[in-house]
Amino acid sequence: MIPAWKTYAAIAAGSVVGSLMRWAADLVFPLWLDPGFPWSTLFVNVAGSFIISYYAARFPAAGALARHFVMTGLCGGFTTFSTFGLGALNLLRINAGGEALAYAGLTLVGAILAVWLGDVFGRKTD
Amino acid sequence: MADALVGAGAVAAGALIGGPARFFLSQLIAKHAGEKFPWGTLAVNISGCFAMGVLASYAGAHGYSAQSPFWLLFATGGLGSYTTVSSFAFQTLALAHDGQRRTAMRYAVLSVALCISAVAAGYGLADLYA
Repeated sequence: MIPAWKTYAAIAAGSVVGSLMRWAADLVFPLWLDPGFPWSTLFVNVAGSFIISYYAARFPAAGALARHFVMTGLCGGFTTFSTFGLGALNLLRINAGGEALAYAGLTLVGAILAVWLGDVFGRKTD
Repeated sequence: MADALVGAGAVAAGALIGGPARFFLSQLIAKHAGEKFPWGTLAVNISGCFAMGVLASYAGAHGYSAQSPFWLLFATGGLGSYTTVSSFAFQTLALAHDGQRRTAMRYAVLSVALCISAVAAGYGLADLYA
């Protein structure tokens, strides 16, 4: 039995790393892409969804602490539902309904497609 | 340089609380509501979205920008890591793999619709009382 504090420490550490990576994406993406569209949040949510299922499929025997660090902490901290929701609301507030719908659709379809692909690639061991 | 350090510290401090809080609450809810449907993650995401709406209204009223230490601590670090898309998507796939396609679809649509509504509700309520 792993003591609870170790589980929480693994999640906290992963969450810090994931959040800093997400912040880095927030700083870098608007330099190349239209800053009026939340490209960085779309990217982290799709990429984090790929990583979580790739890791689960590729390392099924990983220990509980490693899983908590990568899946609960890192992927959980990297991806964000609240920033996605706010981004969609902000687009709606400037009457960009089409963009808001595209953003929600791309996030939903992208994230689910990404976990599916992560699972497929993660199972390929060669 | 100093700004980057303060910013990184704010994001890290928020994430230090946000990630573990998500785990604690989703486990607690799953224990009571059962693990057949991901109620824990859904509740965390909805509550985090509501809080994000309140925070955005407050930040707007007080002139906090997206790169201010205030926003980086509470929004980017705290609520950003409290909520999660990866677990949501992972659970959706797990439900589908388990032969529960309808439940998976319901979970996905419910999450997106309720979360955007929760941000709007939080924003609207906070605007009302500001």
